[in-house]
Amino acid sequence: MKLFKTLILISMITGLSSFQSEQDDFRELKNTDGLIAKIKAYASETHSIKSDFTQEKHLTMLEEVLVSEGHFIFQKENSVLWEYEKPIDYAIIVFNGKFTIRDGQKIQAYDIESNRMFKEINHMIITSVSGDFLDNPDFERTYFENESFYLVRLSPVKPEVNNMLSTIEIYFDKNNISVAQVRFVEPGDDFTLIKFYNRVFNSDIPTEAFQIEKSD
Amino acid sequence: MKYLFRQRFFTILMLGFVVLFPGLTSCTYHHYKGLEKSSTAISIPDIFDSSFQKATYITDFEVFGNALSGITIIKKVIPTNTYHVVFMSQIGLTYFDLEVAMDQDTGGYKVNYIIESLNRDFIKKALQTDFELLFSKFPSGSQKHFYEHPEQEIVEMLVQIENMTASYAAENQEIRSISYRKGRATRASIHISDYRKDHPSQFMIHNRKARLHVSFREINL
Repeated sequence: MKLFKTLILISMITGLSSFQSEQDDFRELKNTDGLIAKIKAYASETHSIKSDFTQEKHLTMLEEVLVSEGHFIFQKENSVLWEYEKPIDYAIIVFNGKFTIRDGQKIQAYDIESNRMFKEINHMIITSVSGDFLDNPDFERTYFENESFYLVRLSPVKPEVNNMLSTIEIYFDKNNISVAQVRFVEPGDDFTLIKFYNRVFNSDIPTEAFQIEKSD
Repeated sequence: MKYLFRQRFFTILMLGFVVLFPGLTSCTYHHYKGLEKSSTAISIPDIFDSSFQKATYITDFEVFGNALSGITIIKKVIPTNTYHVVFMSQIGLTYFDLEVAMDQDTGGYKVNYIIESLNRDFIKKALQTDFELLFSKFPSGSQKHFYEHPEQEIVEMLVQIENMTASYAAENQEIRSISYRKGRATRASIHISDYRKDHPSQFMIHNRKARLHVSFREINL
């Protein structure tokens, strides 16, 4: 058990330090035209994404990082399945103007338009994963790069969003200009880092994928 | 005639008041039937034991019919002598982050962050009341009354805090419910349905005034 805890601690420290080094060597892009054109192409050519993800929540109050795993599906224009498998069974589905939450056996549906917070969260998720933010007046953008990634840092302009998030950082894989990870930074410097892997682009997504069912 | 009727009505009213008033004031609300006043102080267990360090809970939060769900972390922070409470969404967005002093006499209550949609005075006040109640914070000089069951291991402590009364009911050395009342009207209550070692693993908070209901179910992350 002690060995297990030590291994977790080492992997957390390694993870943190590798993330820190990823953060450290970014330099601001002077000429952004080429990257903007590539992101525009990515956003317009991407109709669907299927991917697994790991989510790390870094809280200043906690030494440990809270890690969750799951998978997500995005279908243009506004359909999203965001499903956690570990450590808890939980899913958020955005489909046909409804925001549905499945929490174990409990399912609750909300009208996106009737709830400002759900609307902003929905908007934020779609903006982040689809790369569709270039013409969005709700964010100010700055561009960076390092060896592996292009980084677009979005600063929300709307008070209802920048009260929740100080920045959204979107990391584009340099190999194929696709979203590899997203970091949501909160006003108190707590942040959530979501890394995507096993990504499949533009596959056919049946609408049943967004039909929520109770888990067994 | 009218005058006589008024005088009689007034007399009946006064008599009713004289008869009813001692009954109302001496009738103390109890969580359990059959409790008897104890002349000596009874030890009431802490809800969060001194060995408690931290716990993570699946949380359903409802205020005025609006629901939020997420994860709450409660952590004891020794250097600041506080309990740190963070409630966040599953996707990691913090809803609120607050600190409750372990010692009411020297400490206090601090909201480090609260999301705009919850940033209302009545919600913040309700959260303060509820979490101070949960962490058993009351001034050390507060007047306390103790009650116990003659046959079963059930005890209750009533703490007078200005014009409010906090009631802690324990069964078999574990706190089961807490209520916070003004007169006979319950303003807030906490029901603990399960314990794990040194802290509650399942509990619910109801704040009637703010129409706030929160349930906590512990998970291991």
